Amino acid sequence: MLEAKYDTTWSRFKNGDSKALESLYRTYIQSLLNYGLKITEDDNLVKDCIQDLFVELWKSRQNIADTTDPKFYLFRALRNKLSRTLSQQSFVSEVEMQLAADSLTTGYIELEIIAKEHELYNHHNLQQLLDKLPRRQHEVIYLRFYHNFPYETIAALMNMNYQSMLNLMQRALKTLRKGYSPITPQQ
Amino acid sequence: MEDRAEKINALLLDNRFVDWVLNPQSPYAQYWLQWIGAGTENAALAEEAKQFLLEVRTAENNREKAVDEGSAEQIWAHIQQAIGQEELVEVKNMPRRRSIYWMMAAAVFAGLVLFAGLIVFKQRVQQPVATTATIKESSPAAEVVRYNGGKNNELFFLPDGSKITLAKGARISYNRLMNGSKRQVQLTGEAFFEVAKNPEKPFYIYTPNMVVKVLGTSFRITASGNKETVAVKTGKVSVYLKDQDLEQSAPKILLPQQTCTYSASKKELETTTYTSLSKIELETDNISGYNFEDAPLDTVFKTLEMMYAIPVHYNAETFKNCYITISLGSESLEEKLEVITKTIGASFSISDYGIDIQGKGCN
Repeated sequence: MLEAKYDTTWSRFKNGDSKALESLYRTYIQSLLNYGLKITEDDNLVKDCIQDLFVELWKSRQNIADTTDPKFYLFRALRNKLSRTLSQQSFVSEVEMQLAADSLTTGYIELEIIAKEHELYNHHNLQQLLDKLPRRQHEVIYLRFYHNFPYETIAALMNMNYQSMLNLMQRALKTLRKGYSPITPQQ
Repeated sequence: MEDRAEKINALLLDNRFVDWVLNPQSPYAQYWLQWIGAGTENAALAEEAKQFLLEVRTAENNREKAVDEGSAEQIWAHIQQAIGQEELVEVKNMPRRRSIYWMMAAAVFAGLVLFAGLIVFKQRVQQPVATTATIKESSPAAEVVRYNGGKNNELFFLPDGSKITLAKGARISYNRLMNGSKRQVQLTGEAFFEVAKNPEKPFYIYTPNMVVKVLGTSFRITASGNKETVAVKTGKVSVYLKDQDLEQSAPKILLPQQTCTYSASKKELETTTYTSLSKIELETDNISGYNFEDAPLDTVFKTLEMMYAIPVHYNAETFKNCYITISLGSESLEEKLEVITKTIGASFSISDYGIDIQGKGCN
């Protein structure tokens, strides 16, 4: 394994280089917005939180630790911020509701998938399957298969213990693979 | 069956496997190539897990929303403003922007952005893309393994325009972009090759005991069990023993109607002329190309991804109105990309991370 190195842009930003902050912003803004939209559909809230996040980062730059992985740091900070704001907004946080809903909706979704299996077999619509996944299951899939975060990192990012996160992933995989039919070039 | 599904899940739950599929510089590449090489079952499992993973990734990629330049700039302007004020005033006076404020500022900012003219904003940030205009030769490239796990012969496309029909159980591996000074393919099993002509970049096929060199021909190679033969349909083929020095020693030259067989007992190559009318090519149901009529760009790119096992990165939102009519046949990957990008007024670059498409989209 390669030895992990601290990110140099991150260190420059910590030392008060505002150009480095801008560079971090421009590098990650697209991913951050998209990741935020996986947690809530409220586009403006996501933008607000990202703005606050960068302003706060700058303010507290002297107290921030070095990191090997700015993307992880920013993703986690945004996630925490969003779930804090969301839990202030509603009496029960949306995230908590999702947590409770995960166990309920899985059964329903699986039933629906069996019913639609034939249709899905032909259409092979992973997008639809992804849409139907409970939010947190989709989040794990997204972080692992799109952003290539290791499972350990995802657990830390989502404030979950490793095993619960793996269970979540296993459920998501089960649902997706059930409805999935591989396409081969000759079709 | 249940067992197989579990094995695939186990691969998808393995960080090292996922990293190998997603990351061209993965430190686990060698491990997985060895694992795949250990048996046909492994290769089939890995291929299926990989295909599933890449399709989920493509589906996610299509969902990824493009951030319009205006709002990205606008958020940044707010951040700068807040930071600037912090230097002067008390921290708690930091302006908090709420949604209505947003729209007002948006109008002002749209003007600014127009005035600024051109702001180059990176649309995709999910991987650090080495944007090379041409294919770099020195950079490390991932090895692609393609395996026919089905019951019938299957047609595979290579980036240089060559086509290979793999018999059941046959496997080839090659450098994803085929961008070295030679084109090189490792083969086990039986395959029919139609090699695109390119005298500057000879095409080499490596089997356990032979090296086959061609410039552009069609022929069949069998390399399974103890049998290793080459049968030529068109053109000229040079065959070497594997431990031979390719520059120094004379190859066996094969012409159409000739067959070369490796004799394990004598450790040498034997040439025979065949007189039977048995077919050299492998039959396949695959069509040898794909025709698209007014198809969304999306569909065309997905087909390319499957044909060449190379990811195509583009902004799905930007190009959502692009429809093209094209037939993809035996041109090289680059020729195909040139035609496609010309049609939609875009540009492309190929790197180890895949194909990158840039452009302004269609109306």
